[in-house]
Amino acid sequence: MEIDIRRGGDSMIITLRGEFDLKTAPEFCRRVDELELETTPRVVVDLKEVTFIDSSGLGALLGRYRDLSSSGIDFALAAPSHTVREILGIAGVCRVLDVYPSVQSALRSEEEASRADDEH
Amino acid sequence: MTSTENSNWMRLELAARSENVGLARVSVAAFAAEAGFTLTQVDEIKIIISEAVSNVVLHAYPGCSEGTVVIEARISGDMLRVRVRDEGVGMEDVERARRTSFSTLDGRMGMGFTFIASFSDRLDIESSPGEGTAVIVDVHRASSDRDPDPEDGQ
Ligand SMILES: Nc1ncnc2c1ncn2[C@@H]1O[C@H](COP(=O)(O)OP(=O)(O)OP(=O)(O)O)[C@@H](O)[C@H]1O
Ligand SMILES: [Mg+2]
Repeated sequence: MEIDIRRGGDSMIITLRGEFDLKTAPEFCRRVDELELETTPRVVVDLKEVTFIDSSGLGALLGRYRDLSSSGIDFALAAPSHTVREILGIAGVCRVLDVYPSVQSALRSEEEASRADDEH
Repeated sequence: MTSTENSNWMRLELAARSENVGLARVSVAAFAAEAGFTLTQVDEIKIIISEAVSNVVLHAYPGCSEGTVVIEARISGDMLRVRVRDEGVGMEDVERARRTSFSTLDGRMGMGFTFIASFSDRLDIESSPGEGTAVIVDVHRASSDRDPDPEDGQ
């Protein structure tokens, strides 16, 4: 699995490509744990090019979600393919964390949320 | 496309290591695709194999780096039967292991058997402590994809 990390506005965007399983999950966890996120309000994981995910990949995503949200950082998933969505659905992940149809919509919702905060 | 006498089998013996999980799942996926399983089913079979083989790597041989996993698949008529077995520690309570969210390892979700069960027509687990484990899964071939997804265009 390829892991590509870049900033997009305020957010950190993590793009994954390939198969997310027992072999590749540890690298993902390590890369996320190494990020310096002090002033980053949100991390978005772009799943568009993830061709395979199982309980190991999903566990890695949920584990990072738990760590980051406990430090007050939003953690969202974007652009899961059909098979990935099926897995997220069975595991009930959509009830726990935000899943957006695209990275753009994830970023947009972040802007809207911060604008709403400013108005108050 | 599919021969009238539809029966075939494969057997794969691998070191129980995380590097081999991908090899196991693409091998059985190719075998099922050849036998006429639909694209959606082949994707689901990949998950089944990945979960069963990952479980061997994670749970069967704790503290020991030299374990083996044997993956057998057999087509008879419209049915694929897969058997994933190890000679590891086995399980005390198979019913408990099948439960969603049950895991004996910290940081894991306990979703593996739940995924296998939801993508298969039958899941059997034969196991006892010290005797190893065999996970037996049946999937019936569908005539066409039941859940086409126009969004993906696949
Ligand atoms: N081959 C095996 N040998 C010994 N114990 C096993 C084996 N496969 C599964 N188990 C036991 O069954 C439990 C449930 O397995 P399951 O795959 O559902 O969850 P998990 O592997 O713990 O977590 P996840 O699959 O979500 O990463 C495991 O925690 C383990 O205790
Ligand atoms: Mg498992």
